[in-house]
Amino acid sequence: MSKPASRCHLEPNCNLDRAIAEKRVIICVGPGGVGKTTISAVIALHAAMQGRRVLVCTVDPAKRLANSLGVSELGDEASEIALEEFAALGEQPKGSLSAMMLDMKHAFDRLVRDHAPDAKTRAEILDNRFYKYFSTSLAGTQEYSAMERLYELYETTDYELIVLDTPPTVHALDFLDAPNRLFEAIDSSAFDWLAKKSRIRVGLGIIKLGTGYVLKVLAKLTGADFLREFSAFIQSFSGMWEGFKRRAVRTKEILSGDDVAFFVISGADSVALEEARYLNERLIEEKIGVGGFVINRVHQSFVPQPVLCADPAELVGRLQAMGFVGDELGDMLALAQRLQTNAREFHVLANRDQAQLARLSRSVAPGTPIHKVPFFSTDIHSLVGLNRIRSELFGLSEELAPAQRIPGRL
Amino acid sequence: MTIPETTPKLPHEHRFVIVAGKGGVGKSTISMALALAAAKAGRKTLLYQFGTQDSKTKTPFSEATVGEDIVEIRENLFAVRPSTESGMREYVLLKLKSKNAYRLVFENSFIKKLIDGIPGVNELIWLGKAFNHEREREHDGSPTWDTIVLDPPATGHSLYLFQVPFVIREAVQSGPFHREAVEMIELLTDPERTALHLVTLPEEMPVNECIQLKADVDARMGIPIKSLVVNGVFSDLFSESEVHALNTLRPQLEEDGGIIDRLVAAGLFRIERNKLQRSYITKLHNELGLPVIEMPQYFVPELDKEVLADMASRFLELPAAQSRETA
Repeated sequence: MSKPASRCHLEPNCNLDRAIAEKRVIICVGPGGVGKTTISAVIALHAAMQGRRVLVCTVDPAKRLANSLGVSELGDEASEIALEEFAALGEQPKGSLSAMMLDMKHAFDRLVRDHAPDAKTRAEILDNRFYKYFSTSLAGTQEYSAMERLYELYETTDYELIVLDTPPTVHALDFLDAPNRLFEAIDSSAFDWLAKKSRIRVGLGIIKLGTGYVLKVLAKLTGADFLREFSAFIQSFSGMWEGFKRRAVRTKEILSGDDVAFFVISGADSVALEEARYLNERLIEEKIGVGGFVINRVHQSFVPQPVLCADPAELVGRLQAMGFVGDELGDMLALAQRLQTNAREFHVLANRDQAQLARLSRSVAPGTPIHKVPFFSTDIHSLVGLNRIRSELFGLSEELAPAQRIPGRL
Repeated sequence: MTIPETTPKLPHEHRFVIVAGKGGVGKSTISMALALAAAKAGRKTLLYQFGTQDSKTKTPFSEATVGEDIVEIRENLFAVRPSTESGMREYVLLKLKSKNAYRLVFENSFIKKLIDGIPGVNELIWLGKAFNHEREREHDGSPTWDTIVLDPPATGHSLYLFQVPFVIREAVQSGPFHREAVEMIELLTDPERTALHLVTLPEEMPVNECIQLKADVDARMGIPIKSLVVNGVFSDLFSESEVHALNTLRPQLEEDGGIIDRLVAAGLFRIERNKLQRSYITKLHNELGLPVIEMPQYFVPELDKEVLADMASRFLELPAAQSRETA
C-alpha cells in the first residue's frame, strides 16, 4: 500500500479540504453498502473541528451512527453533538456539530400537507392506497424526499455547512432524475388528460384519436377499475403540481450552485466502482460540480512481496526471538507458514483494490482527487473511531503508514 | 418457517428463485452461482438479470454478451437482461394481441412520457416479464424453464418491488390487473415453486438490514425465505492456542516494527475480523432461524469461473439435513 491519498491537506487545491472550508453544502452520493453514512459523519466532524457550524443529515436507519456520535437516537430535528471528548484527547473543537436523521417515510406526507389546497384533498391523498405505496416504496421517492429536505434546510436554517448523506442510488442519479421525470410527465398532455379527462391528440398530428380509444386500449390492459382508481389518485394531486414544480426547479438551482460540492463515496470493488464512475459522469453531464471520490475500506498489504516468499524456517528463529515457545504452540514452522499465507492473502486483496483504483483514476478527469480510507479490523462504534477515519482521510497522522498500525489499537 | 415442508429442496431446486439483500453484498454473484448450481444439476435454467436501458454485460461463464435476447451461456444455462422497451412491448402485445393498438397508444410520445414519469415502472415491467417466463410451456405442456433465478435491481428498494402485486390486489377489486396480481401473489407465496434467498455480508450494517428485510418480507409479503447466504467469510487460519499466543504479543508489537511485527500484525488483523464475523453470523443464526450457507472470502484478483463453480458446489453439496432445518 502506498501512502494514504489523504495527505492532500498539504496541497492547496485539495477539493475535500477546500469544500470543507468554503462550501455551504456537501452531498455524499454513492452505491449502497460502502459506508456513506460514516464518511458523511467524518466529513462533518472534521469541518466542525476546523471551526465551522455544521449540520449532518444522515439516512442511517440503524441507530449505530447516533451511538457513535454519543447520542442515543437521532430524530427529524437537529440535535447538537457534544465534542468535549476531543478536548480530553488534546484537541479543542473550534466549531460545532449538529446531527439529524432524515425521516424518509414521512417526507412525502409533509409535502402533501404543505401543498394540499384543503383538508379534504389532504385526507384523500394520504388515505389513497396507491399513494401509500408510491410515497414510501418506489425507486426514486426516497431520493426525492432527501432533496426536498435539503431544500428546506438550505432555505430556512443558518448552518455554515450542511453535509447530506443520501440514500443508496445505483442505476441512475435518481434524486436528480425522479423530479425531472415526474415533472416532464406532469407537463405532458397525457397527464393532463388523465387528470382532467380532456381530449388529446395522439400521433404526430396526422392521426387524431379520441380519449375513448386510448381509454379502451388501456382499460383492456389494466381493467377499468384500475384505471379509475389510478386517475382518481392523479386527480387528487392536480391542485398541487405548481407548488411541486416550483420546489423542483429551485432544488435543481441549489444543486448546481457554486456553494455545493458532491463527493462520490464508494468501495474498492469493481461493482461499486462501476456505479461510482457512472454517478460521476451523470453529475458532470448535469453540470454539477464533483469534488472527488472517497474510496472506503481499501485493503492494505502488511508486508513487502519478498517476505511472502521467504523461507518460513528463517521466520521461526525470529518468532522465537519474540518469545514464542514451541511447546505451547505446537509446530512453530506451521505457524510461520500460516502467518505467511495470511499476509499473502491480504496482499492479493490489496493488489486487487490497487488495480481497481488505478482503473478509476485512468477513467476520470486528470486531477480528480481520489481519497482512500483503509479497511479496519474492527467496526467504527464511537467518536474516537470516527476520528480515526478522520485521521486517515485528512492526513492528520501521515507519519504512520496505515499498514503498520497495530490492529485493535484505536 | 411455520409451514412444514414435505419435500425439502436445495436452494436451486425451486422454479422461481429470488436473490435479495442490501446493495454491495454480492447478490449478482450469488444469483450466478445459484443458476450454475441448477444448470449443473441438470435443470434448464434462466438467469434473469436487471439491466438499465440497453445495457449489455458479460458473465464470467463465457464470451457471450447478455442483452435483451435470451442467450445460452453454458450447457443448460441461459441468461437474459431485458430492456424496458422490449419488456413493455412483449407484455402489451401478449395482452392486447394487437400491434396496431400498441403502436398507436404506447409508441405515442405523450403516453410514453406519462409512463416514464411513473416511478418504478421499469422495475415493474421487468418483474412482469419474469412471471411470464415462469408460465412458459413447451408443446407437451411441460414448463420451458426448470429454474428461473431473479437478480433484482440493486437499489435499496429491490425487494419492495415484489410488493406491487399486493398493492394492486388491494387497490382494485376486479379486472385484468387484479387477476394478474392475484396470480403473481399465488406464485410468490407458493413454497413449492418459489424460494427467496437472502444475501448478506458478515458486517454490522448489512446484518441489521438483513434482519429487517426478513421481518418485512414475513409481515408484508409472505414470500417463503429458504436460506441465508453469507458472503466473504474469512476462513479460520490459526488454532486456538496460536490465537492466544499472537494476542499476548500485541503489547510488544512496534508500529514501525520489522517483518515479524508486521506478519503478526496481519495475523491479528485476520483474527479480529474473524471474531467479528463469527459474532455476526451467530446473531443471524439466532435471530433469523434460517439455514445459513457460508461463502468464503476468495483471494483472487477477480470473480472468475472457478470461484463461481466453487460457490455452486457449496449449494449442490449442501447436506440435506441443513435444508430440512427449514421444516
